[in-house]
Amino acid sequence: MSKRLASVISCHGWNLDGTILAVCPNNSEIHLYEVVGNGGAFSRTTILKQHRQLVSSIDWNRRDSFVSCSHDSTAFVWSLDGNHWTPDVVFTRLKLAALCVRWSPCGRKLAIGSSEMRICISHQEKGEKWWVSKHFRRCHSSSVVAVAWHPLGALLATTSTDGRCRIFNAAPPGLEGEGHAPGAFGDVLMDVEAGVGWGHAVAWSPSGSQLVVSSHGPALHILSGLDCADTASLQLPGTCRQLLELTQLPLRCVTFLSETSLVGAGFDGQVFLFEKDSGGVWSFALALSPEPELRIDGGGRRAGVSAAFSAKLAMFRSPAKKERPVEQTPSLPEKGAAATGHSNAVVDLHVFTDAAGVPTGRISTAGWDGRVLLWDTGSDEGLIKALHVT
Amino acid sequence: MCSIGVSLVPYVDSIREALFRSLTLVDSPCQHIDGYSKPEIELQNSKELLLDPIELHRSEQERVIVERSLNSVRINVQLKRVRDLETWLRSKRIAFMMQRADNIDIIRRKPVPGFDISFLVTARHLQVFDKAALIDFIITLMTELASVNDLKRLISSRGRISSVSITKALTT
Repeated sequence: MSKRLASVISCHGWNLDGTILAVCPNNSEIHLYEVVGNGGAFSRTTILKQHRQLVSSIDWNRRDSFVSCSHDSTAFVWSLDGNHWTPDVVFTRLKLAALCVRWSPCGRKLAIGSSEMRICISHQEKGEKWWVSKHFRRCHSSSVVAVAWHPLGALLATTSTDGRCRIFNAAPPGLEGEGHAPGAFGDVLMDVEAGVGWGHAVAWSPSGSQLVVSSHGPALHILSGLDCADTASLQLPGTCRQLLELTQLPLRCVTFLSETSLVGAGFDGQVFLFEKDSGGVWSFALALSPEPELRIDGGGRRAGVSAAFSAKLAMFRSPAKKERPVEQTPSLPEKGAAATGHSNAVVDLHVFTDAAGVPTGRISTAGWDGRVLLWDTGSDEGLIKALHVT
Repeated sequence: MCSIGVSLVPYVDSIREALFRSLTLVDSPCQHIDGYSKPEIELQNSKELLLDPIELHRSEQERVIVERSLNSVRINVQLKRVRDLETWLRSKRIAFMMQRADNIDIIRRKPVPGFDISFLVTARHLQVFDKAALIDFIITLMTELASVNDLKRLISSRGRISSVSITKALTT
């Protein structure tokens, strides 16, 4: 019998070869799932309890260790030591919640965005176990909800709830072997409107020449022709930007699959594919899954309230109304039972990459309906399977 | 979105649509106090986290305002102004619901000044409840519970019965 992973998932992350899944079931724990047997069924192997509040983001690096951050402003780097996962403390020096964390492509730096309206870049000092942080000069005027590293590792794109998208120089002085970026550490190289309302997600294309920002408009703002070595290319003329207004609900997460295609998922519970035509204009291509049950239909479907509450409601109805044959209420789809798309908002999206870091076209999404779904954007089917626990 | 004096169906449909678009919330912690997650629409101290409210009018008095923010939505309903008996019946019925705000998660204990019923939906409600069911519940409460015709009919029929029996008692 298949079972959902949790009742609500707040974030998830896969290791590089897709064998270990880390999931936060909307509390302070991190659950690790691993493949058992050949059936592809997952079973929970470990529960990590180190945070005190909701775990807000999980990210794996290429060396099979992962970082998690939480609303209690802590972050830990977890690595496998023998049979145990041991946490290394990240000294974030934050006072408020950490909202998002990402490894730099080289795996030696961490970027943590927080609701304290700032970002910290953490790295490990030589010979030390813990991670230390450097803060950017405060230049956000609201919570930083998403961060994305440039593929070369020297620039950091952020989006925040003040509706801006910024690019920073994130190469801390003294850390060797980093890509070069214009300006000094913490300088804002670009500051543009994310769209309408607050930002939700930001992503670089694999080559680092394009950037996409999702905002609550709902809209996608796509910037192209970026060059990380050239400050002038970051001060773009309007022609290289495209504000794509969406008919869907806002997208909580977006990621590039290639230079000409990107996927986004959000409050619709569906995964949408966007493509760039030969003229360089982005447009909506298709939805990977059929319409989910989330859509409301025009016919007055009676509320799926609890039985106890229905009884309370019935108290109010007059006898005259009670005599009426009881309307057959179409039962709501059982939460997470269907093998179709998510039945609630998608909150996290992970793109599988090969060893070189190129997206393979397979993605996984996690949603508030407590399920993790695997998708293949290359095939016609779209949805491959829903993960289940045995 | 709605012109003045439209019938119930388009009014309800546009409320449905407005709620469907608005109930896109993020579970975000407070920007000022550590460890808190409060509905921004009630705090109103971060202007960038608020969106313009959606206002839907059916008639001069009957209207719905959907106030939107990052992690919460407040739905204020003003019902049709009616005559004394109906107003009294309705206020009793709404008071009954509001006293049970602990059980009926999304209803606000007190309506926003100037309105009859207020709902407060946060990201946590969207995680726990089905979105379509939540919208249906709000609409049901607005349309069905607010109309007190059935109760009024009961009162007048009860009045008739009692007056009949009183006259019977007097005549015999």
